[in-house]
Amino acid sequence: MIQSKSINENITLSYIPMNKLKTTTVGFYIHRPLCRQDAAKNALLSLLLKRGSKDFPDMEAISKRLEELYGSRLSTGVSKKGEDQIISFEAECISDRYVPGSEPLLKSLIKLLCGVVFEPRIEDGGFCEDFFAQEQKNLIDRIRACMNDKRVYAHERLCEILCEATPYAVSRIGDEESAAKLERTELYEYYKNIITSSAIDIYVAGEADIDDVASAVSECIGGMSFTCAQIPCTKLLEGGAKEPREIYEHMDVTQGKLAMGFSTGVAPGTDDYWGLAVANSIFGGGAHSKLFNNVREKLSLAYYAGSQMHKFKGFIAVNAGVEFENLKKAHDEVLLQLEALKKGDVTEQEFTAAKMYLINSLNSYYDDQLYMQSFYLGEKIVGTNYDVEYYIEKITGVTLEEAVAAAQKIRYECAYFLTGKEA
Amino acid sequence: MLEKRVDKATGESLYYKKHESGLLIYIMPRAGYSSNYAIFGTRYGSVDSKFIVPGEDKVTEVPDGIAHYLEHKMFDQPDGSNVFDKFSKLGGNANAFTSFNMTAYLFSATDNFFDNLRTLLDYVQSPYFTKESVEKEQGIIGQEIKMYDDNAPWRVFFNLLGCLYVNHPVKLDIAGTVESISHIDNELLYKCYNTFYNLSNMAIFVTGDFDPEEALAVIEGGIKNNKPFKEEIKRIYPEEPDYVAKHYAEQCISVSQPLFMMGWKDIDVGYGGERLMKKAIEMDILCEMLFGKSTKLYNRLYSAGLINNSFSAEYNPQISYAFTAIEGESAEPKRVFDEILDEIDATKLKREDFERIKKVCWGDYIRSFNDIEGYAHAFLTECLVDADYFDYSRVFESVSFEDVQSRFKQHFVRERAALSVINPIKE
Repeated sequence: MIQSKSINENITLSYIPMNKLKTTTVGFYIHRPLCRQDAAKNALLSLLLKRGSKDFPDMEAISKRLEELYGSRLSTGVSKKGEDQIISFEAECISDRYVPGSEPLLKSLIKLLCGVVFEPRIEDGGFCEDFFAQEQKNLIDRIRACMNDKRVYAHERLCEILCEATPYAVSRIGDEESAAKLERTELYEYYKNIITSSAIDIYVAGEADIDDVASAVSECIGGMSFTCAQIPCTKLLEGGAKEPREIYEHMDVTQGKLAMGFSTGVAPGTDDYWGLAVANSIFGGGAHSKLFNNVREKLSLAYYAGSQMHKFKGFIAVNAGVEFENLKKAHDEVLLQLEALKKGDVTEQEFTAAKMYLINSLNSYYDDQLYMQSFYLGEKIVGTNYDVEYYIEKITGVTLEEAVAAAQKIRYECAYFLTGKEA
Repeated sequence: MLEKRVDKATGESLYYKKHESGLLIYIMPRAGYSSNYAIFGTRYGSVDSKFIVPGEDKVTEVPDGIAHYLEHKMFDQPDGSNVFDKFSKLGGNANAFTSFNMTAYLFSATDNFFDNLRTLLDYVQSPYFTKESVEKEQGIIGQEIKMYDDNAPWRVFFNLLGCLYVNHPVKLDIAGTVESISHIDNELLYKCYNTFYNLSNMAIFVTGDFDPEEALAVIEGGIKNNKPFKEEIKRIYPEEPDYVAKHYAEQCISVSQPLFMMGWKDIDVGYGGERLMKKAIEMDILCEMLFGKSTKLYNRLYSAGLINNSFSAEYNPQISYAFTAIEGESAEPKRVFDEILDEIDATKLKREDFERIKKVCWGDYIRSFNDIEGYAHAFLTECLVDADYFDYSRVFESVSFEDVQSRFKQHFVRERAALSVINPIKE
């Protein structure tokens, strides 16, 4: 169903027809290797570029334009899929057939978006001084704000500890020290360099003509010359080198947080991957899982307790919010549940529910354009380029034995405990 | 028989029936969708702690947080299992929530939709509480309450409500307190259940790729014996004055920089239906015209570094209360508050802005059909205030610039504004 087309050696355009929805979504994704020296630069670029373009010189002009296009939306950001830091620009408009007589929304939106990505507003050989100073401050505020939501914070800290000395330990938005050092002309030089030397994926999901989109993009980049680039690769987490570690941190909080990390050694799309996905679903993938039913329901230790796969890097993270004095108890229970899973102590009900849960989620991608774009982008990064149907087929085919065999690859690496201030 | 209506703008259809049990049934087929969704809700939320059961004379008063507690306990099955197990077996992804004015039980499923639907209907109509099971929940909900104690966006919101309202229970935490929930027992839960879960106080909305008549048959087949109330459940809210309780509140939480929420108390309340829907549309337009990203105010505050892109405004319409809230992060919340109030005093609304923002609202309306879950929630929320989301385009078209102008004068009154701030903990 997906159609793809090369715009040039770096830029690939893909169209996913999803016209049962009433909107069309466009995403520009710039792939950069995740690393400490550049993470903050990429994050700052995502904030700066949406401040103004050649045609729409400031936020007021961009916002007014979006409003005229029936409340079209534009958001920019950075995300990480494995050790690929992606600078993303996502826009959405209602499909043209709902505004008869109006200017074509999608065409105008793509023009606006191309301007934001490829034709930033420049002053004296750099980004505008005001915009730069404001967004640098905003970025630093955001980096500091990572501690605000303790549930997310504990999870991030765990990933950092578990993946230390690998690029995956680097935060999606960079660190404060690097952000503070950035400078407006240097950053512009960096931008000019990466915009023509990075792999860029463009996805359009909804109702569009791929050739129209291709020519709109080509027109915008007509005068630019590109050097060929690859999508960054991710090295799987190597586990098992050390004894499991336990790290305690203290903050002024009412509820404790438990986060635990487990290596798997399983790469996405490989034979073991499908079994592991099912195993993780049994372990902590939702209200059907062992963690939910034991840590929460049976022992009443937590309101939330679950596990999440970091599939690109090959590990699993467990998270739970627990009373301080119960942190260790919850930790032990998590390990007990993992042992049960590894021994094949899994009921028919747990097994089928776990699979159905995954299949349900996969099916729901068909109803959401951004999920769909994110799914295909992930496949592109891994290099497998499977479609959702293939995933469903593979998950459906997993046997209990395969899930248990994959579970045996899960190895406990470390625990992170966030507790209150010491008295 | 189902009554069918068609939306002109999108061509979508809605089927409706009021069942003899009193239950309102809404079915919206969405061809081509992979997911199906159902939400079964009661007009009962955290604000309903004092009421008169139809047929009784005396007032019943129950502990705060009981609506939410009841929601948690509805998952327990007589055989000791949890209803999530049943849904999991069928591939349904089930959940529930309690808000100020509504408790709702829902699921999404790509397969076995009708079996999941039968399960939903069955468990919401089958309360089963024992002393032990009720006690067990104290621990889980206690952790939920504590989780929110550390949650700055949640706290800033409730502290604002504490400013705006003198008596109205909307200012109380939805889950109650560890103390208030300790008074909840199975008898109280049954009392609330038997009152508010009478089907004449409930509505169900189902949507997805299925045949509406078949869906109706499943729903009707799943309705248990229910005698609809002849009279309304009388909900007793304390008298709420026009003035605010206080203009300012602050609290320290472990966050990196201050966050704030400011709001205006709406005193034009006490009605639902189409009138409320029209007011809400006027207010949505106003929020965009005054505080949206294209406004001079937003751009001035942003360029001065006083706000960042977390800044947003929203109007919350209910029958017995309503308010506008603006949230954001700022090193100087008080300055933002003052600048906004001054700007409002100096504002003269422009017709061209109104016309442009109406386009935005229309786009949002069309977009709301995309996400079937979001649509179902929007529909049910309107339904429980006696309004009809399917009438949106008609009501929307009736909103004039003059309506918005007079709403602006009536609503944004300095004396009814308040500010809530969360500050970082000083080391």
